[in-house]
Amino acid sequence: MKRRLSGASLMLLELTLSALIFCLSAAVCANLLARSVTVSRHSEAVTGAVFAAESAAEHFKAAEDLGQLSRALGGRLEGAQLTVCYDDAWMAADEARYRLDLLVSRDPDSGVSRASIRVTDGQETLFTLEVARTAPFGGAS
Amino acid sequence: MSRRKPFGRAPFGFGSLSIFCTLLVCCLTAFSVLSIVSAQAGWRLSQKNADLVQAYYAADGQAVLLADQLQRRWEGERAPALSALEELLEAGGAQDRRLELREGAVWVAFSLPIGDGGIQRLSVELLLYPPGAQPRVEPQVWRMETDGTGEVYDNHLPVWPG
Repeated sequence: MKRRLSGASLMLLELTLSALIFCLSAAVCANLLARSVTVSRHSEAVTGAVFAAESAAEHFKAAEDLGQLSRALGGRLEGAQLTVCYDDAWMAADEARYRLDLLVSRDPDSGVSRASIRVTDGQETLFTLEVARTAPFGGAS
Repeated sequence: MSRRKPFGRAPFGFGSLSIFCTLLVCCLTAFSVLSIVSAQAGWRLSQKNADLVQAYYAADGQAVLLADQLQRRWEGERAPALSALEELLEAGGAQDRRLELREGAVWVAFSLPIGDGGIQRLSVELLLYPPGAQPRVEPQVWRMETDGTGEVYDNHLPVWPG
């Protein structure tokens, strides 16, 4: 003998199926949204790193020596290496969310000074840049 | 006389919940797909920007090196032949090389490709003054251009001198 489902039972079945489908799609969509947030944050960090590296490169081209470059960028000097720490908003800060390392060297065969710039977020390298200038640069090794 | 709803009757029609749920899932899917597409477009844009900046500074470094070599050759050999300077530029990968004598100085123009795309280039013009003059080498033009059209990208902005 067949038992017919009542309206309430059908409603409950529909509700259960709808909730199941909604939960599944919400899980997939939440995963996609989380991934897009991660990708956005990473591209934001890379863009900030590019701007910071460009700024350091132009300061390197304009400065007369490492001391002037350090004062302009607000970093600290260790030999021929300058380190600048940035916060989340890419402002020079003591607490390092991002870190820019600028190493100055001099070509032995020419009068060209070079700077290797590397921006990291503490774990991975976000951006690297090689810059050269002709005018003599004080403090280059 | 009021008619009471029978017990067990759904508060809204059968199937309307499914329709509502389907619409909700469609909206969620559309928004999440748009969000990931937008994030990936942003990532591609920041990568392109990073690649362009690296390529520009690579070309700029090569131009700096060529200018330094020109200056050394110019000073070392006391005004060498223009063909010798052109050979130096050719060895350095410079394109569109032009050299002219202008009132005792040598005007040198060349360009270097920026990146592998072949669309942008760094255009450089230098004046090499005769020995004894100051400065010895003076950059006249140092700018990024599109290849072929002569369109200039980096128009100079007025900057407050301080």
